[in-house]
Amino acid sequence: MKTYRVPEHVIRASLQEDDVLLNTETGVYHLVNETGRSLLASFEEGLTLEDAARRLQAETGELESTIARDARGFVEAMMDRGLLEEASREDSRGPVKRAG
Amino acid sequence: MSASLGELLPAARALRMAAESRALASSLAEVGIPVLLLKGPEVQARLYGTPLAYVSTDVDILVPREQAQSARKVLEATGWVFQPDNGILWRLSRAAAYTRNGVIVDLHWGLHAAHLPARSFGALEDVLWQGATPEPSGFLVPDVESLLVFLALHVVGHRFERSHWAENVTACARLVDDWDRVWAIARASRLENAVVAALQTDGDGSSANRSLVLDGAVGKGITNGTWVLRGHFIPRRVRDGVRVVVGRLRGRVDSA
Repeated sequence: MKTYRVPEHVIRASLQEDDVLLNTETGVYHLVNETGRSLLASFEEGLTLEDAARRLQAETGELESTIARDARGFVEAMMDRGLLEEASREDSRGPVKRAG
Repeated sequence: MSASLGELLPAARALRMAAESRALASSLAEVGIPVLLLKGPEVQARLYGTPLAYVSTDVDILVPREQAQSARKVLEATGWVFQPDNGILWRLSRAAAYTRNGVIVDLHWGLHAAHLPARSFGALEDVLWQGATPEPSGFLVPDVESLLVFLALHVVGHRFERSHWAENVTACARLVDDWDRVWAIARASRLENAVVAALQTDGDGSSANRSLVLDGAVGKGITNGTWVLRGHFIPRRVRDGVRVVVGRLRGRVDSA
C-alpha cells in the first residue's frame, strides 16, 4: 500500500480552485486542479492511493473504477514530472509544505 | 483550468521568489553561513497560510554579522547583482539589496529601521538567532515572539508606510502563545512602545500612536540624533535623487 508526498524541491501556492506548483529542479510551473488538490491533501494526511481515491469517490459520487483509474493517472503524471514521490506512511504526515 | 492570469502571475512570481531565495540559502549553507528568513512570500505563508496574501517586492534575509563579507562574496559568485540604488550608507545599515532573475533579495547582517543604525537593535538580532529553528526550505525561521517584535520594529521604523506591514504584526500576534516572552524581548530591545504602537493599528493599517522607535531618553536621543546625522531632514525626493546619482557613480566599484 503506497502513499506519496510532494518532494522538498517542489514549492506550491494555493489559488481559489487550483494549486500552482514549481519544480525548482526543472524551473517548470504546473497547475493542479481541484481534484488533484484533493488527492494531494489526502496524501499529506498519510492516506494511500486507494484510500485517497475512495475518499474522492465519496466526495464526487463518480464511478469507483473511473476515480481509481484517474487517480492512478494523476499520480503517474505527477511522478513523471518530479512533483510527487513515494513515501512511507510516517513521512507523509505533518504540516503542508507551501511557498512554501 | 479555472485560474485567471491575474491569479497565476502573482503566484508564479511568489514561487519564483521562494525558489531563488531557497537556492541562495543553499549556496550560503554550503559554506557554513546560516540564513534567517525575515520577510517575503514564505513568511506570508507562515502568517496567513498563503504566500499570496499581498505582493512582496523582495525577500529579506539575515546572516551573522561576522559572516557578512563572505555572504556578499557568495551572492556575487552565484550571479546576484548588487543593486545600484543601495544608497550611500548601506554598510552602516548593515543591509544591501541584490537581484537575480528578476528577484530582489535584501541581505541583512544587522537589523535597521529607517535612519536608525543597525547597532541599535543588536539585542533583538541576538534573540532572533537564539529562537530560530531550521526548516526544510533551508532557512532558519525565528520563533513567533521575536518575529512579532521584529515586524513591529519594521512597521514603526518605516512610519506605517504600507498597510500590509501593520497587518503582518496583527497576523503574527494571532500566532503568539507566550505574550510574556514578547514583552520581555521588547523590553530588552527597548522596543516596548514600538510593539504597542504596531498592535494599535486602525483598519487601514495606520496607527494614531506614532511612537518613537526606541524607548526611553537614550532611545529618543539615538532616534533624533541619527535622524539629523543621516540627513532625514532633507526632503525625500532630494535624498532619492542623491541615491540615484551615487548609484550611477558607483558604476564598476566593487561592492564587497
